[in-house]
Amino acid sequence: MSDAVPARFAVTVQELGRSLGFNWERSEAELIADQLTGIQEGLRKAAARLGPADEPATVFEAVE
Amino acid sequence: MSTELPEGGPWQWSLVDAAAAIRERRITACELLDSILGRIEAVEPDIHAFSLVDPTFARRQADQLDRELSDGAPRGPLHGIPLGVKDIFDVEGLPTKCGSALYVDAAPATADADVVGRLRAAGGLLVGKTTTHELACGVYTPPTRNPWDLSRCCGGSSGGSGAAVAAGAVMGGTGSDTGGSIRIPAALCGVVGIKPSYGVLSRSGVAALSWSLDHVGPLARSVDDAALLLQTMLDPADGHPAVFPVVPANLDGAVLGISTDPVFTRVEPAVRAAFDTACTLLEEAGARLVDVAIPGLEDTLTIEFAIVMAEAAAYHSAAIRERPGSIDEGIRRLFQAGALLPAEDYLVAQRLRAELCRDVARVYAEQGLHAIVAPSIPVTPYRPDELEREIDGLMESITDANVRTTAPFNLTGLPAVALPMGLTEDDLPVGIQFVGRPFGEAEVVGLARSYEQRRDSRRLDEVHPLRRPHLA
Repeated sequence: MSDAVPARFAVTVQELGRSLGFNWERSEAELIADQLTGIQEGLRKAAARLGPADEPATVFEAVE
Repeated sequence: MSTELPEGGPWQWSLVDAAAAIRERRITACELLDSILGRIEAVEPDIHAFSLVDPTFARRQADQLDRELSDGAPRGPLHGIPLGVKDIFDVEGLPTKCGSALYVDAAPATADADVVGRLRAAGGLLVGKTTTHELACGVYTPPTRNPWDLSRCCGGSSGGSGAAVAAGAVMGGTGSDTGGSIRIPAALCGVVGIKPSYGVLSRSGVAALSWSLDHVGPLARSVDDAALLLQTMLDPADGHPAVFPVVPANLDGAVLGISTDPVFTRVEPAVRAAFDTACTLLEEAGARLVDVAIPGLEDTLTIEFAIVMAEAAAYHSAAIRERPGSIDEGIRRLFQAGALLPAEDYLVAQRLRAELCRDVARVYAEQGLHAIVAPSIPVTPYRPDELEREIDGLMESITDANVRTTAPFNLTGLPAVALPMGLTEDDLPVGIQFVGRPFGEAEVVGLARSYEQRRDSRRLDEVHPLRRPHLA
């Protein structure tokens, strides 16, 4: 697990995963936690350049 | 167009030439199929591009097509043309296995995917299913190999179609592209792949990876061949403008954007050299190349993977809970992580994507761009066990490298044509992509064709797998 991922997040992921039907060992939960953390940190950083959420985010439908 | 019979046999014809030969009764669908099946027999033990070849199924179609032509009722522009279908598209009577142990016992599909039905209605002859990277999620497509060098990968996820087309085992194929899966094998196998605008082609009957990013499209050996396939895959009721016959766009006066962002400039030296040559050629043809800066490109991978993981988790919801052992570990982990990604984060990713779309649209409008031109991918063909490569002094995963130059146009849904732009010193192909304006398929296909016709293709033709009786 990456040093950046607190151990308690892996515990949370394991417990949340169990409630959603995934029976992860702790080591697997750590890998999932690491992956989620990477994506979420990237999104937080990128979202900093977004303005106020004054438009609803919709699923992409058209390029125009 | 050439009417001469190629030295190696009819399988060497381009798709357009073969279609003309059948139409003009210079060859029958059965004769062309026999030639193709002979080529498959010669190369398939080396490239493994098919998950299923069904000669009986194919001969039945060829007999029927020949009867229809004898009766004076050709179906359409693909009458008798042998095609491969990526094994995530339903073909009536054949199983759809998606390269996955999840579907190893899949029953035959009861109907064609929409676009497969259209290919058949135009006279396309399906010889089998081409391989896909597992669940259309990867850039290696084992066990398929690259016809240019059997020690290398064909890319993915539409790797089977790319390899089969390059080797002359089919004249065209279908692919899907969620984060580059048509353009990556097109670049690595030295063929043409078209990812049309999002939503232009029906995805009904095609297994999903990520609904809001999935595109389907054709792969073939030339822009003309690929455009003819794209034309037949379009639903005429949609009223989309014709892309075939291709009207070569005038490069003289065309405004082409070149991104200055490291997402596109950080490429291997052989890719850089070929791209520089391509840019010089475009300028000599009269195109005006302008630098473009698109904000937020560095976030492409984060946005792409956040959306893919969430949507794939929803699509494969039952499988990732009930049969996780039947999914590759890395893919399974990505999809399961997607089940835990908060809805809030998924929507942030979609907001970032909408922002990227607006930024790209603004750049096209402000600079009057006809297209953006970029290397299809930053890397040259890699080996199956090669997971990372050093690019410009930085180690990067092969997957991330491939996806960073292709995914921006999945997120924005813009039409893109990927085609060969040259060779490495080892005679391996490298590719260029032309990315057009929204729903501007006809224009961007025309630009790509104009470039294809001006490109120095002599060495590409000399060393092409199509010229080799055997690939090993």
